[in-house]
Amino acid sequence: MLLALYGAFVFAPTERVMGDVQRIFYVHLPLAWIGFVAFGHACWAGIQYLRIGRREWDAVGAAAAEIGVLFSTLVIVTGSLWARPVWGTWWTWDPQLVTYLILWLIYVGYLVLRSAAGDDPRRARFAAVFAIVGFVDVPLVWLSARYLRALSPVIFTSHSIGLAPPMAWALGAGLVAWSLFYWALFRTRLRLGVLEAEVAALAGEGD
Amino acid sequence: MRALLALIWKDLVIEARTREIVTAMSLVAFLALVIFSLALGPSPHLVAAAAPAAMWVTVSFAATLGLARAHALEQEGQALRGLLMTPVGRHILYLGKCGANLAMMLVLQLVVAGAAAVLFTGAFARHWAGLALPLALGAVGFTAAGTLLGAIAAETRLREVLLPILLLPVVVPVIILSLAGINAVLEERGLPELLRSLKLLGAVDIIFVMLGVWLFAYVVED
Repeated sequence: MLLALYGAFVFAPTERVMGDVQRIFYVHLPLAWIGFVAFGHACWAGIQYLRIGRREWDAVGAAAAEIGVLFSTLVIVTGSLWARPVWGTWWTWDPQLVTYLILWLIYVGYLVLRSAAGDDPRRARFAAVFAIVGFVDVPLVWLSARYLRALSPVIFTSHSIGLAPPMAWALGAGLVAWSLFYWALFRTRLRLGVLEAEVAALAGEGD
Repeated sequence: MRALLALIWKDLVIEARTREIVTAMSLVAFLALVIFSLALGPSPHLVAAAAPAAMWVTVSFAATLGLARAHALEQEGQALRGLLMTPVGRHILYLGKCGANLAMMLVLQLVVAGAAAVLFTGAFARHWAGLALPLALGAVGFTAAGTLLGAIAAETRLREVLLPILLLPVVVPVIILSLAGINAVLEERGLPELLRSLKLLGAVDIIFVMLGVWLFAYVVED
């Protein structure tokens, strides 16, 4: 696992367009995709939980959302680091950026909700409902952010990137490596969540 | 249908007797507007340009407070539990709560828009008919999401602190689209421009209401 990651990092810088900074792209884009997939995963887990009501699905949702927040935090940080030299600013209200920021805020809210609900038995249902609402909201945010952009002039056009073959390879390698990394993290976190639930159940029996 | 109207009526009668929520919301909103206009300074251009934004920021925070309070009321005396025992569908309960919340939010918007017309820009008063639609449609989406998430937040430890954290990111599309409509009216960019944003806003409203109707049962069930 670590080997795959390491390989992607070392193999990645084969082409340069905007100097070394551009290399961040091989981390940024896979992270962005996977972060988004993670939230979709959490939403899916929410739907399954409400349908079937098995506790494992709640643990799946929690694991996916937590890693999703981690990944999307990295997305925003790496994106800013990239944008600073390339666009000349840390931040701009491009629809993609707005959407990602709101996505991030929603799932940070999801984590706050989980902790605020404590060991309330309904916590899983609350979390599932909010994961679904949050994920459905994402395309709406994107649509409205595009609307916003259409009204006020934006200095930066959305970045279209023609990838040279070696860059595509590096990107592909990054995507595979980060997906595997996500999966490994997810499995670990899921096991932790299931164990936590078991411990809680045992503690409940002890009383 | 009768159950729905009865539910809305019940909340509005409570509100009419105590006038707790609307008064509190309106005062908070008015204070926020005053602080906004003091903070913006004396420049009339700046103030007029900032007016729609200031109004929506004010409305969204005050309405969040009101929603939290409205759901806390359901908690007190286990009013919600009583309602759950009646043979009324959960989606009717949701729509009823939504309707009452919507009515209160519309009053709030009226107060804020009126105050903004005085404090910020007279343009609000001149275009009141055009502004009514984007504001009202914005209120529909806001309360549709707020009623669902308010029911969740009221059951947690953080209560009214949690609600804005959950609600505000979710209603961003509603606020953006409503503001787009308001700006289209204020800058007199014509009807097609206004309708374009209102169509989107209406679609968002419908999605939020459907989500609420679908998910509310899972939130309130024991």
